[in-house]
Amino acid sequence: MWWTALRNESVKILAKPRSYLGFLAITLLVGVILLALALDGKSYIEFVTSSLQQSLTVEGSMLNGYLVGFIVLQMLVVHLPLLVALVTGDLVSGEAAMGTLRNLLTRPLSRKGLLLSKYGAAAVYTLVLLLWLGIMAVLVSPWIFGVGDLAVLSNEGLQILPSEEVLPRFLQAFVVAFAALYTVACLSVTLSCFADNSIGPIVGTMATIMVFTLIGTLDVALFDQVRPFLFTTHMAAWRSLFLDPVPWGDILFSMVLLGAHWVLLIGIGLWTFERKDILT
Amino acid sequence: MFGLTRLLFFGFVSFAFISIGQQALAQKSAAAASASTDAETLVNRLVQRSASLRDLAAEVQVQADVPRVKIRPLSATMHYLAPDRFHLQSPRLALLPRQNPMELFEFLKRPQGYRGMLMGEDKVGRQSAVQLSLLPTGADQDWQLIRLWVQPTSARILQAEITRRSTGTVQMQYFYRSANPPTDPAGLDLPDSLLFEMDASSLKLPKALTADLHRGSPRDAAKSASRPLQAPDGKARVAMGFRWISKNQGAAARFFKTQKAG
Repeated sequence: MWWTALRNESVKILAKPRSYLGFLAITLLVGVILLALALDGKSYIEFVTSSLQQSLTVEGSMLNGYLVGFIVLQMLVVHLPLLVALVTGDLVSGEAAMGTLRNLLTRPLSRKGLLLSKYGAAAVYTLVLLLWLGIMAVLVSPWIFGVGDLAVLSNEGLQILPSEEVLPRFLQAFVVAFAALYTVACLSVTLSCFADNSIGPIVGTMATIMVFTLIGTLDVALFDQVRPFLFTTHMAAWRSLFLDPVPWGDILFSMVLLGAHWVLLIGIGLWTFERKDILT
Repeated sequence: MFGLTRLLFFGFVSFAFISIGQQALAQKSAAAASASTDAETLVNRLVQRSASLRDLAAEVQVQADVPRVKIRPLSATMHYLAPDRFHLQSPRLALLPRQNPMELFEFLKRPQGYRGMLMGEDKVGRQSAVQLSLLPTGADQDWQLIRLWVQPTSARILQAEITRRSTGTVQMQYFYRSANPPTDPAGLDLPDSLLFEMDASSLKLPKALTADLHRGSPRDAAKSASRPLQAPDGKARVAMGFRWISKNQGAAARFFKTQKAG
């Protein structure tokens, strides 16, 4: 029964035009980035390596599909939470606004089962959106620019990874990125349980992300204790998979923390939805 | 009488001093002449060896140790065709010194472009060497100063310090598996490995691209950035190990011809 509900919720997401906004946005944004790098990518590389080239020379092309894919991921990871929240924030409050929630609850599926199917549909949507981004970043980019070693710039410096290791790292990175984005999806669905219209949960999700990100970047001792436990601190944990060696301890901590956020948010959502007076 | 004796004595002493002085001067000139001859001889031997360098191919292992850069060792194929065609073929990205390994030999081939001076004896590791300074004689040259540490008996280069306008100062250490160079003076005496060392204290990576909004406070980022990946002495080192496939057998010429055709 739950699987049927999940399938139905997924179909409902597919039926909404706004669900395709995320895919369209990703396609356009990636297209723009690919065009910009195709036209002026060499200047970008020279800007990064100008200091290095005073005494050393880089043999081989740093500008390849894997680097472009990495840049695409880096640039879009900031925008993906909005694209996710745009759809998942509407899952409960949208039904409430349309007046179909009461109808839905007359079916022989518990409130818990219904809400969990919505959380499940949010996961499916997030996964598909991320898969589309992955196709654009990791398949289309190498098709246009070719493959090669990946040069990654981080706080510690420049790391050059052999090309044969890059694809597995991208796959692992998408798993970690999914964990982060699904946390955003869970937050927006949970906020959706409190509202009767979609704008509130969507704006609320983005506002939460902005506030947490600000807390994460402000250099204040008061926030030092809180920062490791904010989910926004771990939203870029996927980048750690491109370090050498990979800090598996940090990544595991990020995954556990994000998992804990899922449990907490789903728990809050279930508790609220079970007790909510459905008046619309 | 006493005055004559004194005169004779002072004359004798003066004559002795003048003789000793002249002898010393003569010896110094002889030494200088000998030294310049030795420098000339050494340069000629280096030129003779370098002149025979035309076409090389080798399998190369490259290992770079650069501050704030992490790159794994890689294998590549090197082709060199005199005077200036150098190519490293590898599917991987390689960090190489801007000074290519063969440029010194090409410079040595043109003795009219520099003047050699022996600067004395020195040691390179446990090996005795003489220090030879080469000063380029042309105006407005890229090459500013070349210092070589050369085995005096075999004219084998053990160490080099090259200062160029374009690349700064690069130190190179030459390592050879065979204890003795080829007996033929014009025979190629190529190193089996080279270690390049250059100053990398000015290496800075753009901060704007390293910022990560989701990675803690600027204080954490600064702490992380102050931890160099390796090479804490601010020097960049690139080690190249060679397995010579072809020496003057046309392999590089064929390679570049194929590249041009392709």
